[in-house]
Amino acid sequence: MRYTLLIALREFEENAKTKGFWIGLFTLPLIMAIGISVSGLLARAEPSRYFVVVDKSGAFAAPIEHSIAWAHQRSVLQALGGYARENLRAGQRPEIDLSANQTAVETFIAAGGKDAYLARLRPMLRENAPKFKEPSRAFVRVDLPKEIDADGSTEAILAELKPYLIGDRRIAVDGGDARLFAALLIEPGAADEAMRGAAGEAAIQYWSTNLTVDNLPDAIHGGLNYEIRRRLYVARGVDVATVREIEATRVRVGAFDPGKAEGTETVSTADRIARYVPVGFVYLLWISIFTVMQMLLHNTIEEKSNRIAEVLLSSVTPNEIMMGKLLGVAAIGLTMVGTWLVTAFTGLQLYQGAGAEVIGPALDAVAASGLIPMFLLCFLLGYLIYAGLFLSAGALCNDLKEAQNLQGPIMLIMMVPLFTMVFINRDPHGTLATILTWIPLYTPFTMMNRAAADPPLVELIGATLLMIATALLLLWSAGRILRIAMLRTGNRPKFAEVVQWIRGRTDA
Amino acid sequence: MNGQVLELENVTKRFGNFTAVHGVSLTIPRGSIYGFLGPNGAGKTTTIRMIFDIIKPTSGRITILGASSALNVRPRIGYLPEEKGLYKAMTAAATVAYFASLKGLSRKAAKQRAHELLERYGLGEFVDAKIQALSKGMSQKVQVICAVAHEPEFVVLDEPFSGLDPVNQQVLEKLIRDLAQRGSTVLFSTHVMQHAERLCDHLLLIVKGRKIFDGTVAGAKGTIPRRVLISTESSIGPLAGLDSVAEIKPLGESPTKPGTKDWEIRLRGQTSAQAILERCFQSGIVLRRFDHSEPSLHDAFVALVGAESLAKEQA
Repeated sequence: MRYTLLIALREFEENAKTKGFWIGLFTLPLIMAIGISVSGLLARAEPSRYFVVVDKSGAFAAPIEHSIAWAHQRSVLQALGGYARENLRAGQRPEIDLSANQTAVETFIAAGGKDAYLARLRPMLRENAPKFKEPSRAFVRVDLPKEIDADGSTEAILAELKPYLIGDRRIAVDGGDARLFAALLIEPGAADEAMRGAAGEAAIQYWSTNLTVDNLPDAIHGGLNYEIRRRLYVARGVDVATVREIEATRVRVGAFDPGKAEGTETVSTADRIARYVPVGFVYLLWISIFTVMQMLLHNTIEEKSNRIAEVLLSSVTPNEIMMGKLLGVAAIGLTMVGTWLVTAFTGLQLYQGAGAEVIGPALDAVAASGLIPMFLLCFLLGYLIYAGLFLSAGALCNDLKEAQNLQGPIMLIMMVPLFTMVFINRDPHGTLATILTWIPLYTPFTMMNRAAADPPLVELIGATLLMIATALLLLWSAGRILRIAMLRTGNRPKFAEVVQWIRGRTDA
Repeated sequence: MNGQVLELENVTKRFGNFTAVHGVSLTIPRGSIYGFLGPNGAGKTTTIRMIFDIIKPTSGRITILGASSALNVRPRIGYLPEEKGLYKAMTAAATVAYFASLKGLSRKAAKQRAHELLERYGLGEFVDAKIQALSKGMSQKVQVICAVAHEPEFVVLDEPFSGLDPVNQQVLEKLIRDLAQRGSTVLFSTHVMQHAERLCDHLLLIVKGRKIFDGTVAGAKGTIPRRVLISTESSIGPLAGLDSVAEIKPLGESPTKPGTKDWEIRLRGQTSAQAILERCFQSGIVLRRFDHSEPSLHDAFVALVGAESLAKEQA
């Protein structure tokens, strides 16, 4: 055991000294830190985008403005929610809904908006709480540039607006200038056509070079639909206020999970998010196993190609070498994965961006779900299974170049869990999930993915036993291959020859 | 096994249809420097790997320091393989300390010993240098130090001199003598006969997997007939009748002394060359050269291995 530990210690120390280890260790936390700070920063620092509306119908300008103002109020409420989480005194729970859903936003606007809510929050805030900063408006409507005649034809207006839209000219805004983000052109008869259900594409035109930002077209769409429906209600003699009241009614469907303890069966948003977490874990599992396999392969080849194996074999047995490597590299892998997990959990706890209010409960749900122990089990067994393969591959190759050739097919095999992880998560007890569960190379990833959906106990135990048996078989084979292949150079042995080594029928 | 560190009894190793080692038996007494000689492919490395239980013999028995497997006595043995290599990213001191700790030294003692030995054998300023930054010769010295840092009772050095410059070869010779003086038994294989001649008490010679000689250096030299090389201007017929002469071989015209002929006269057994010299004077044979030097180990090696093996080795 002493020799195994000495080898493990060397593997750990030497790998921990490599740049790759530190890059791997810090990349994920760094990306998360950048992501969190940048997303917060971007949310706060994102400049307003300017758009013009040429409404020749005279019907839609006001509803669109209203719709955009509503979207802004929602982002203010969201920011207030973040502000409250950061600055409320411990144990304080405000009786106002800061969740930013539709009803909450309506209530927020009706109550008087930001100032009214801040007045109610203030007594519960920490003493040194900073001032609340209202997020800037994402979209601001501006007037047509002066030189454009608003009474001209749509074509003429558009021709003059194009230089602004493509960035050749800039519009004057608050004493400065800015790029025009979008233009909405509405023909005179657009409202009537829309009410008849006959409006073509030309009646209402949205022009913008940026097609990925969809908040603005969505808000415009919302405003347009709101107004057209209002007009239709009036035209047909339906009381609009009654309709709005009815539209605000929401049916609630309680979702319950029979697998949860009695009294706690309600499925919350956090529970729903937690259901998707296994996909993240599969990805983490894949990345961590693949990363440590590279280390294992590299070290094994180094010992073979640099002729270190023979000195080692005069001091320790092939099994001690193998076990030492497995332990040392596993320790490296666990250090890395542990750091990633801790960072991910801490980072998500600190996250204040969109959807932050459900992250805390979702993390609690993940912590309580047994996914982390399952991840560790799958990591350990998956690591041993792939270690058996990669140790053998490393011992059979003469140098890194040869190993890279061999890695191609191994990589293809290893990609399957990534391709299938979303489908398995969606249908955790489906045919694909069941088949992949019983293919040992994919068992760790598939079981990880299915873990949140409570797979049958028989499958859980069966899959665990399968992983253990596969790991033992592959490691036992790797031990035999290692003993012979580590001292062999020259042509790579044929498959049949390797089988003979594994079966112990060899002269070496 | 009182006075012996290693005993091989009728050890054979086959790889498929090829027999690398044929029934080799040998005994290495404690405290000796043992030279392990043989042409390429003779089975030296296979024998050494079997000694260290890295590969198993097909038949026969190996006893090392009284144990049936080298792994049972690993803290007491040291090994420098023919194909040398170290972890390139490790420092010289860490490398020596690591291998010493694998041989049973505590991590602290191993570190201390590493610094001490690197200093003693001229690598003091490279203790913290990575192996990849060292020259081939220096890293080979580090590896030799790795093999002996734990002060083993029995050390096997497979081709320790290959790749070393003359100065470092001397350092290595000193290291081997130091080991022997301290009471360690050293078995080393080499192609350079001068090293074996200078260092060894005993020699073991194997050819094509078979032991063909096992004894002292003097014994090895004694296996080849003594000879005299002479250059004369006249015939040497009168020498043929001498009892001490076994064979006279004409070597043709001397390349350095035109008009003279070279001869090789093989003596019978260990007889003296004095009688030949006397007969030359008596018969009026004009000698231009009379060379009766002791046979070198190289001569003995060539004679024992045979011209064919030599040709193969030189190729």
